[in-house]
Amino acid sequence: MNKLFAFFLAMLLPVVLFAQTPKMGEFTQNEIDLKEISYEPGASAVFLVASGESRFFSNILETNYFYRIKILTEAGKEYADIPIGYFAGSTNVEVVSAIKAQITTYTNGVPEVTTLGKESIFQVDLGNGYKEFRISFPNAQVGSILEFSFKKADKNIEFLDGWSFQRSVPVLFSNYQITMIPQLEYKMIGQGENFYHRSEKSEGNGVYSWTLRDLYSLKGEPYMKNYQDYVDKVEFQLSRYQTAATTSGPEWTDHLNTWEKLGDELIEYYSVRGFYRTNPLEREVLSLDLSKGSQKDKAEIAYYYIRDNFINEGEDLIYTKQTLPQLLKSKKGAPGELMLAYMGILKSQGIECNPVLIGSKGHGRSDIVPFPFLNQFDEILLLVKLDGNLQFLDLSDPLAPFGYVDLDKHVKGGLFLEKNASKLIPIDIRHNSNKLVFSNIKLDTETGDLVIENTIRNYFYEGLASAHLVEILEKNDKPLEELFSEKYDALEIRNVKVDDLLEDKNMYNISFESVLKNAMSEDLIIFNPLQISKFATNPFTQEFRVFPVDFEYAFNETYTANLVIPEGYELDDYPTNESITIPGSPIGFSYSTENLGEIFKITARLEVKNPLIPSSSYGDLKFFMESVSSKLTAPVILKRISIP
Amino acid sequence: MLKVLLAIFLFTENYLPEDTTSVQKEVSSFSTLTQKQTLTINSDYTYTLVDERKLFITSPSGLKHATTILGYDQLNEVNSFELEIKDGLTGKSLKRARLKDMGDAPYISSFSVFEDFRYKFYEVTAVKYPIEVTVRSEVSSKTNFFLPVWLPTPHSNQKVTQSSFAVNYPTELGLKYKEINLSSEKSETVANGMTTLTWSGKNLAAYAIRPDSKLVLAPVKFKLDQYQGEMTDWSELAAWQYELNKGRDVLPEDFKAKVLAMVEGVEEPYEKVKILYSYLQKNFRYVSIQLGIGGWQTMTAADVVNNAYGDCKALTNLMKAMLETVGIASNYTLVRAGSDAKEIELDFPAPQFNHVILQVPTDGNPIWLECTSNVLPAGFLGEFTRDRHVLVTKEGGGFLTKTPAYNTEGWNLIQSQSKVSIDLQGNATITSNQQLYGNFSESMLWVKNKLDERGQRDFLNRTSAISGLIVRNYTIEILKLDSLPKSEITYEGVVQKFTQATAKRVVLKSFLGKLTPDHLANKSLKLVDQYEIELPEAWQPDGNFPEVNLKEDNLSGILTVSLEGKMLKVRREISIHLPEKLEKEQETELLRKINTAFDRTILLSKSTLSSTLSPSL
Repeated sequence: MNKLFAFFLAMLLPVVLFAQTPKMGEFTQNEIDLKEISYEPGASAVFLVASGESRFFSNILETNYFYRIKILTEAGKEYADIPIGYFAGSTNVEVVSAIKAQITTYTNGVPEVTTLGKESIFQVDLGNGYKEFRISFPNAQVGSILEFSFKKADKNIEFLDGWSFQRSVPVLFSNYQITMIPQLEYKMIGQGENFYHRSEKSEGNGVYSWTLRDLYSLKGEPYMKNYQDYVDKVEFQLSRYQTAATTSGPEWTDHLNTWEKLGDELIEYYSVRGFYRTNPLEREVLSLDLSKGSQKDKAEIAYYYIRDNFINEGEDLIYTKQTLPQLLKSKKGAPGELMLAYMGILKSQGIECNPVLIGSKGHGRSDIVPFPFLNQFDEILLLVKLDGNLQFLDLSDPLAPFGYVDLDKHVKGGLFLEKNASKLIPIDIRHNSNKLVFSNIKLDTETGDLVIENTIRNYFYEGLASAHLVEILEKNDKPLEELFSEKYDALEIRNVKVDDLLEDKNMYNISFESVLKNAMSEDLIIFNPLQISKFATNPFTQEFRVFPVDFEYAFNETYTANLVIPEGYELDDYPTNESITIPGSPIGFSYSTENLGEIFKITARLEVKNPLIPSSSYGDLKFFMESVSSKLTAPVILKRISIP
Repeated sequence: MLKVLLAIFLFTENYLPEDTTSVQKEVSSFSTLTQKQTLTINSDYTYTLVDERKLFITSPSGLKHATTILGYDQLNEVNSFELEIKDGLTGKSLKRARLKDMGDAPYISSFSVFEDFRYKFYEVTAVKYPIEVTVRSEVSSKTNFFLPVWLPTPHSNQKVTQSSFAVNYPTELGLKYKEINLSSEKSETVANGMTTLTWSGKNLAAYAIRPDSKLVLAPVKFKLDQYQGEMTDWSELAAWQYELNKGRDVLPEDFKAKVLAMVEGVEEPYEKVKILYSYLQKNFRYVSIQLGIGGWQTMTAADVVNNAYGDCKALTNLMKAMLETVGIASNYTLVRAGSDAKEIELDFPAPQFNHVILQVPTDGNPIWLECTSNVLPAGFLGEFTRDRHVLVTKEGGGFLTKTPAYNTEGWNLIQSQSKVSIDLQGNATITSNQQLYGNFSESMLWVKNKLDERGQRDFLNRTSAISGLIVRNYTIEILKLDSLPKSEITYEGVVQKFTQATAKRVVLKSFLGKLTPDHLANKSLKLVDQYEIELPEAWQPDGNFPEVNLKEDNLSGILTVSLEGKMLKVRREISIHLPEKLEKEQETELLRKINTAFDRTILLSKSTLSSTLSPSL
């Protein structure tokens, strides 16, 4: 924050406006009578009111928070212990004060109100500048209404926390109001289906207000690991501020108001830390032969040098803890630091390379905000031009081969950093992360066992995921058989082998045998020829869906099983052919059989064309996946025949 | 649901992974340690521990071996810390650090609202290897109630050149120790009223998992705050605990009157216990606040009444006071809780506990109360505290006893009765009633009390043995048959693809569910499943129905399938009684045997074949 800006802020007078803040203890009859949430029955508690009201006092943003919670079940009593976290830092960046709390319990229609004293409010120093107040409500019962309010003063007015509308239990009324002052101009960033389509907005005299009602609780759902990116919220970034008021009107100073300026500040930040200098890196890679080959060859050699000679440790962030010299000395750094060092090596080889800031999956945004808002970015990618082709590169996964980008970074766009020319760019990383499974099924007439020899070819990110699973087992000295969960049934998994071909062929192979012991002891051998699909069990068992289903990327899984009809047996029965999809065809499945004489061939293929399926299609998807799992577990029957 | 006193345990026990097997393969080391620890117990019951160690670290993986963590609270202080890092090859000093350079953080447990336990820490970093790290730290405690544990090898992948532990104590105070898997040499000297015991070990090999080798100590005479005691035997420790809480069970008169009114006209002691326990469960909640001696001494009952919350000590003390009010004696009981907690050292009376429950003596078996639970029946202990030794405390003494194991059939019974009606497409409607008794009911307590309806319905769908179940309407009732919990689940719903259509037949794969290790966790199981399945008219049996009859030493099992008209009747009955010791491999083999035996497919023929089939046979 520059001095002029700080000076002007100090000159600002407090702005006092009055908002319709709910008052403690003033309940509606509906709130008193409420016993269950109609759209989320069984909810343990409910936020009857969640309200925040912000306004500026000099160079401080003050927010008054007010919450009213009702306990609906025994489990809801956990909400009687409330943490209020804040970041004080070493200069009291945030200060929480004026905590008030009371609990009201109705007995036979008569309210009993207890106002909490200091003995029920504890302060905890969490370290690193983080602190927390903890309120413990006494006499909390099912039906009790808990209320608490507090004030938070925040010295950071460049980025305003704003408001998240949902909570871990349903919220009936969630309101945020901010009173802007003419001297400061902010960009507002909203997010969420509800925020854009259902919120009640009001605006007047610099007072902006948003209200959402009847919100579902925030809970994890299968195939949605980053639901935080879909939360309804509103945030603000300072765009410009007044520096003087003249007769011709106010004069304004821009504060991060172009992508170019934002980009230049980041580049400056990295430059000060040495990451745009190439000399130290040239010395670092003296031992590498980067004189020959294509740019891609050189980039690959440098990638493996960094990946294998530096310890990848620390949080993946856009900010660096170390300078380049410190990184080169410690040989240990966070992914962002390693990537910036890698950029330096590539630049030293004359390769065009720039950082791209992205908001990774789970950082809180599903779409990029179309104006310069730094908080939306949390991680770095590199965009590199290799032999005329643009390619995104990443160094966040110590197991990943050259060219792989962490899946959390497969987002829609990012901020490309280039001096005086930073801009938003789309990110479209294509790959064929498919799975091919070949099975060869034979009857071992000596042992009487039915042996299914399986080979799984996992491509690209599917392969990388397998490599990680295997690494965990190896680190813990566990047998590879544990790749397949123990089902405690007749099929025994044995002879598991892996073959890591990711670097050369983008392929990770796993082979194993599944053995049905003493199969020949029965006249009918009934077995499932397809052994390993994770979709053999329908993952979608929930009644409804709040968030979209996210398969992360388009892929297909193909299963081919060849059954050698054993001597003395005939193919008695097998599953029927099937081909299904859901409206819009984002996902499809086919199952077919073919009789080739001594060989009976079964082919199944699941294809996910559109990896993000909206919650409105959940019912169809659920039914579809049940049909898929049923088919993937359908049996083939061999029947013993008399040998002539 | 970890409860209480863990902070105190952190002072006395290093909870690194331990190897409990006797044979381990020697592995490469990331560091080599020379360590000397000196514990001096003073006549005023305070102590000082000086730890001097030198580590030679050869790789980044060894850096964490040099991390220093020193806890402190109202009873414990960190006096000094000095550290020096040297180049391992040249001996050049690279870095020095003192107490002011240490980080400071609170110990944040998942269960406490507030506690005063914090720790200072220092993490070593290095840019090249090898390095030599020399550390000297001194901590002191205002009480000798908890004494440090000595681990000759503190870390996995660590070689020990030499490690010694000396304890000086006033002979008059006494000291007890237990060597666990310890091969170190011990020496003893006595002079001027002080006894010095020294253990030392040399050239200890590195292992992938730290060996379970340690020395545990406990005082004979001790003092915590102003409370003096002895722990020569369990009875003395129990007596001291009783004194520590003495006078803290006084109830307000109006509350006493309320308690008496609740049991007015009730004669049967168990009924009284049940009424008061239900009242406690409904009106008081678990909140942990741990400050200083409060780790062992309960809040007063009056404070708990006032706040309607408390930790395990407070809620147990309150329940004890309520029972006392109605003329029922009960005993505050110390337990090492945790579903996978190790058994306490029975021959080593010492504060080895982290939780408190209540024992109510009767003419028969005592009634056990877990006072932090809002859901368990009076007299039933969950997996957190069952089947283990506990210390019952009483005025003037106490004793070790064992909590119930619940390992008989009555405590491990699952029954179900289901009616299914299948349509020609293989989809079905189902109504089902399932009863879970005892231990199996415990998990349903969580489902019933913690999940909302969407979560409960999903639980039923997801955990059903029947794939494709979509529960429409359901109820989950939790009943308390005295101390026996029973969960009764009823639901009606639809099943997608209950049967699978093949080229020639309708296949009804096994829908009875597989047994898992969870079924055997309590060494006993009785499982009875009955199905009545209405088939479409056009479907007929294809071949014989499967039949199973297993009879072995610890196992019996029956599967019968019969057709009466168009009603297919299926009954599975399994009864298992396992020996106390069963190896993992034996358990897996048993489960595989049972699941294989009962994994039977029922084949049915259709009167018309599908015209879509491609291959001909």
